[in-house]
Amino acid sequence: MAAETTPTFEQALAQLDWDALRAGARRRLRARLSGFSAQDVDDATQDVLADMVGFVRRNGLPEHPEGLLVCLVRAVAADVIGGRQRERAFHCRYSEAWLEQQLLPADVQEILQRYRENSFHILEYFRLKRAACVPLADAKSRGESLKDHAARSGLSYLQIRQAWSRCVRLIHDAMRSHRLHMAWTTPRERTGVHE
Amino acid sequence: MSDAHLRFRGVAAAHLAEALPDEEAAWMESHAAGCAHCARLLERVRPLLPTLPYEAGHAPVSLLERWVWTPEEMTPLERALLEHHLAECPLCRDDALEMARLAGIQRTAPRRTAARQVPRPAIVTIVLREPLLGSTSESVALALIPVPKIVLEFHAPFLSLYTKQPATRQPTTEPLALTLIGPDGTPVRTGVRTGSSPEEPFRLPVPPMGWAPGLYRLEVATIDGNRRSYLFRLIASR
Repeated sequence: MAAETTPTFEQALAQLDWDALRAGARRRLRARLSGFSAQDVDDATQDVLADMVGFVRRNGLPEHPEGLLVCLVRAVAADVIGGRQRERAFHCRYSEAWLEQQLLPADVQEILQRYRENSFHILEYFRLKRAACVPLADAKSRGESLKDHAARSGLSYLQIRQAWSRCVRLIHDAMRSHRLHMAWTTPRERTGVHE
Repeated sequence: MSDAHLRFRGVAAAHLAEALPDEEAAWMESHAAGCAHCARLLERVRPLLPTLPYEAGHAPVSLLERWVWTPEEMTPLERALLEHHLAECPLCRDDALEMARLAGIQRTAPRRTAARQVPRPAIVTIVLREPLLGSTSESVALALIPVPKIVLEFHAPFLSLYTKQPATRQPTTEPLALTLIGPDGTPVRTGVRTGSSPEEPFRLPVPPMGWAPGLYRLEVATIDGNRRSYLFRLIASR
């Protein structure tokens, strides 16, 4: 049996169906960029594909190209919208930041991904079960700390903390009954990272 | 890697989300105080959190991938939460379906059903036709909308009771007594309207519990006893 080898950059690029990816990127960008011209959508599509090439160059072939595509579409669309709304000098390039994050150590990426998933589950759970907790869960999903949220909303930190504590108790109940898997899971062992 | 480090890494995201029970959060703080590596790990993630807002509120792509490729690994609640979101958020739903299409996997995502739409307040304008000469009441087909805060607005011309001289057909300017009789036969509202002002509609205050569906009767009477009544039905929408 032939040994499995890592494809070269050119081989990796050749394995992707660029026509399908381009069509998919354009469809998703058109949905996100309503109000922008066809030229803007075409330019953004080109940016997504260029970022995808950049990803393959730095990280190799993605495990799920369709997932990578949606990640980049979201970031590039946010860039396009942000570019219209703000001064370019202060404009955060989400797509650049996202690509940079893919180069971070695996444990950092893993925690960030789990944070996204946890925040999403918490927010959706409260949308279904406890509407009063939604604003706090929404703040957490935006990466805001309770202290920041208290300062922004003009409420006392203690008040916010107590409210959040009551909310997360519901989450703990769901976790204890194994209906939600959010934390307290053992991450995969990674060799040579930390002894 | 020791169990303590694994435990720290496993709950770091929940710790950053401030979603840990107090005793677990205290353990995290205490471990980080004594372990530079774990403390550094946390400090590397924390500044990245402000980059999240552009996709906050949307389903993370990692969950969409799981939904496309290995939905059986999700708990029923996790799958329900995601599918509830997909039903409500067309962007995420179409992202998920696009991913499934590109992966060559058949998936269907739920859409929000019409039954779950939130009713919005509305004004119903009721235009009642003048009854035929000699009759005292007329049935008028009405409408619709089941909303709790529906406003009933009666268009003015029908309130103009004609004078007793049919030849002149001039609207009366005398005060009008208005009584709305509810489906159970009891007066819901009474009021007086002075003179006729065709341009100005007559609005009834909304009862505290909203309007109940059923057959109503609006009675309009002049001070000299000239009286007409109008029947209409409020129908709850489906």
